[in-house]
Amino acid sequence: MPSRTKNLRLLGALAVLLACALLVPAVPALAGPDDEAKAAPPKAAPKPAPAADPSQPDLKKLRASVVKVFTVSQSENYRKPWQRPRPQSSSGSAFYIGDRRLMTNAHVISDAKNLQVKRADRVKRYEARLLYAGHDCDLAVITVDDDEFWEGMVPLEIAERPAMRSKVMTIGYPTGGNKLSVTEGVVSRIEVHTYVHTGADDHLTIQTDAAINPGNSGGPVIQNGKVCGVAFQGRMFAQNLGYMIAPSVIQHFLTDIKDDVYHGYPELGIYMANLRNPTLRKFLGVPEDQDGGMLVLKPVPYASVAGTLKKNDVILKIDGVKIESDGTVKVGDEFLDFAFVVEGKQIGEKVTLTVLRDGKIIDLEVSLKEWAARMKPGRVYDERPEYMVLGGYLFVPLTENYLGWGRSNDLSYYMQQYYRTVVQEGTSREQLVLLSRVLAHPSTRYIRYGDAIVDKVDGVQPKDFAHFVQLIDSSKKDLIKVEFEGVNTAPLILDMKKLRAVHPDILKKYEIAEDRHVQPKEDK
Amino acid sequence: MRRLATAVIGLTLLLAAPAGPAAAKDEDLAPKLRAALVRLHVTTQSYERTAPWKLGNEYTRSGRGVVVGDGLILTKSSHVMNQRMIEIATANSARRYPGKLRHVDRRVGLALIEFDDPNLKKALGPLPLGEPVKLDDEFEIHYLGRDNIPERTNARVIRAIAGSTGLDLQLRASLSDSGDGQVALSKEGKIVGLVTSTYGSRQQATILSIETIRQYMEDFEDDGYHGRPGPGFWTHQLLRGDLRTYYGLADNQHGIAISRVVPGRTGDGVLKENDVLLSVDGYDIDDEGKFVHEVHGRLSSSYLLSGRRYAGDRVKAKVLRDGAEIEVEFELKGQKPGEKRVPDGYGAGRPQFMVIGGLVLLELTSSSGISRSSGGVLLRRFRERANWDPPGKRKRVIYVDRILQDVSNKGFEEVYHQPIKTINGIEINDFEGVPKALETPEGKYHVFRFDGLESDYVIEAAKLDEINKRIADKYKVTRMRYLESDEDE
Repeated sequence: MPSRTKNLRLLGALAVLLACALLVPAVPALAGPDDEAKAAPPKAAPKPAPAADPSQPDLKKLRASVVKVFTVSQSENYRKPWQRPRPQSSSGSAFYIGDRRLMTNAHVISDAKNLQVKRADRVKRYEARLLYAGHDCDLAVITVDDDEFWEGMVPLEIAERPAMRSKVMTIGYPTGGNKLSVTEGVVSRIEVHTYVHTGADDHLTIQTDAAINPGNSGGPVIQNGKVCGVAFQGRMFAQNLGYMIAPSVIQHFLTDIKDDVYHGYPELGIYMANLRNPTLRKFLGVPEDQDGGMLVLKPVPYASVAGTLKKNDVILKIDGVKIESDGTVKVGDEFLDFAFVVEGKQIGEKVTLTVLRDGKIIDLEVSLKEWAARMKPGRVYDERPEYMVLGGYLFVPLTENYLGWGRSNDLSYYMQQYYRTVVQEGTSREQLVLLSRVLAHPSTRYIRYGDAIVDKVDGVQPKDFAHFVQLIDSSKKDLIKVEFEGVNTAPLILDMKKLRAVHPDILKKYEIAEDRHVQPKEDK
Repeated sequence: MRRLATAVIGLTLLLAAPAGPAAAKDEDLAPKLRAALVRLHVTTQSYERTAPWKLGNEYTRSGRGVVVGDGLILTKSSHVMNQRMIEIATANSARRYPGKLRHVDRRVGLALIEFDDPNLKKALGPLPLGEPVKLDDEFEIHYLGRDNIPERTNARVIRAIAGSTGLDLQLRASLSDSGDGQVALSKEGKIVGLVTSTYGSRQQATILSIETIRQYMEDFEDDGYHGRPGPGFWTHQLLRGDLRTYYGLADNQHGIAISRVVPGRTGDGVLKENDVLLSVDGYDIDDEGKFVHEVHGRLSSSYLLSGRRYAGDRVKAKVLRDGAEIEVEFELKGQKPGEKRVPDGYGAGRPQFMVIGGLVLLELTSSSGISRSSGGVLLRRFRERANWDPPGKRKRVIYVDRILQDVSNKGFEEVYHQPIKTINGIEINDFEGVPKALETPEGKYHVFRFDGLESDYVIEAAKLDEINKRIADKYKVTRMRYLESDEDE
């Protein structure tokens, strides 16, 4: 039960293609600006009109603070990294948090080339720009330079975590119409959940039965007039399951950007197993008065606990909070994944782990660090893919984004191997390099490779993609031997003289404007 | 009533048969042919791999064969896979006689069935083995059709395909998809092949060539069966310019590069990595690894090194090493089942297994279902590299297939497809090692350690019998182990 696993679930990010929204045949003609209560999606069960409840917010105030975001985004083409796929239009929601800042989801604005926002009470669309994006927590802050846009806007406050079964209201611009929509429901579940935007980050999530649909993304979930969550993802093939980002995650993001840079979450980095088995507990010598604890299988290199924890340590407490034998901590009436305790912390802060080691209980202080390997466990955004075209050969680093473009079984199998190599074994190899494909050309006759993992370049194993490029660039040999992983994969012999001769021709033929994009390690 | 009707139809068709082409010759051959064709009714029973203590369902399938000797029938090996009972029927008769499996070579794809019923021996007689047929040759395919009525169809060779187990011929022939094991006969009534697969919709069929059949039959003539050589060294084609440069081939030199010589296997000590194999037995090898056969044209060189050879044979070859062409000679080594780290699984009989404290232990085979779990990735790697790494100390890979949940293994519900590295500190190199390792617990515990990143699995040694009994009762596990060394099967 590793603390960090690749965990793709059947969750759909909620940014909705505008094109799709337009295809919805019957756009309901909403009567007027004051009819938000009627604007619930058609599938939702009829609910009584909101009564004059003093706990309910002033909708008129909210109308001015919740805006629609129009995005034209252009992601990257990981198979032909010198090209960009066609731009796509989508929309989401955002809300005012004061200081000329609008909060939305990172997935609403990721890879955006053009960003516009529109208030419910205005006709005009204003140009917006990104200030901060936290892809690991799917939150972002955008702003509008036009002063006129901010007139009469009232900032929304961030609330405490809502209680189970308490009433909440979702406000935003979901699919099915153009105007502001309001839906109501209760808090159904509070749990640490995977955020699908990166597919690799788990944070506190609040589930509600208030309808959350594509387009709601980035909109606020309101309780007593304050924001108790940001709507961000749903679940396909399920009913009345909407998810929002918990207030603690929002606060973490807002604290993080106080220095004008988003750093992200620290990575504890422990592979561990549960200790629910009584025989295993006895075998490991866990005292009988202890009934919790998690077993450390391996501290992951490139993360916070490397060098502090050891295999077979039993983690009993984190910051004084008892860890149960299934890896949860008790928070109020809920048992939440113990990662929750670290959730509130920023990179550079400390956490104390109480550990049973060799029969003794000791406290270990751990400085929280960010993930430090070139290989990223999740998808990245707003970054150009790294690649190098060398004659007819395309070399790339293996990333989650690359995997998203090819759905071959073999690749995802190698992805698992790749996790083993990079994360578990913790060798000096921080990233795997692939010969992605071979471009057809007289110089590459009979040569076929698809996603071959580079093992060595003239006997040297590349540590990461930048190192691979450097090995090739700095070689003074005429023939460079590139060996691959796997059983009986023929090496590739790069005849550098011939390659240089055909290189311009291949770039021209395949319309490759730039033959490489390599990020040096420093500006990671 | 029904029997009578069948007999009448049978009779009618039989009478109609001689009206076909080449009738004159058929009249002499027909009784001899009829006496060599049999239909086999084989009752098979497989095993449930995920619950290996259970026997699978029984099925009776019918196949075909041809008599090749006194009391001896040749058929396809797949007909007798997991066989429990074999019955033999003859032309134009519904009666079945008992048969017994004498030998099977699943790699080659042939099996021999013997019978000793005097009536059957009287009714049947063998056909001789014929001469090789080549591209465009025409002949007939004979078999017992519905109600065991002899049928035949014309066939023509369209392609020869050779590999490490033998030589196949692809035919244009009008055979249904409903079965195989039909026999290909020359005009003189000699066996020239055995049908191994049919593609009715494409009017194509594949036969195992007479060369391969003869090789199989002659293998028994001396001191026991040898079979084909086992997997040996690995090669790369040398069509690519970059590899030709790397291996130092002149424009007029052709061959394949030797990428790996597996220790202990064919070529070890004689061939070297980076040698280029130029010829074998006097046949030149081209850059794609093919050679030109005098009868069948371009075939894979694996036919020279394995397909047409017996394990233990020696071959002469020419290799390019360090710029010089040298002559070498080496033995084509056989591979006994025990020498394979990942043995064949499909149709290999009862899988070995043990149920220990709820852990279901299996042996990794070529047909094990492997998940995408972390342990499954390791198992897949073992399997991929089975013929790449020498077996070494770890002769077999024993893994936990799943866990039968019990109070004793609480917390381990998700252990799945995990290869076992050690039990009680002793490396597990084959299934025999498991009961042996359990004789010496680590203190009060049996401790299982896995290859993957998993928690140790521990069982209180004193409680093992009690846990086993509880699991056997709860899940109706009728037997807790089957190892090949167990004598009752």
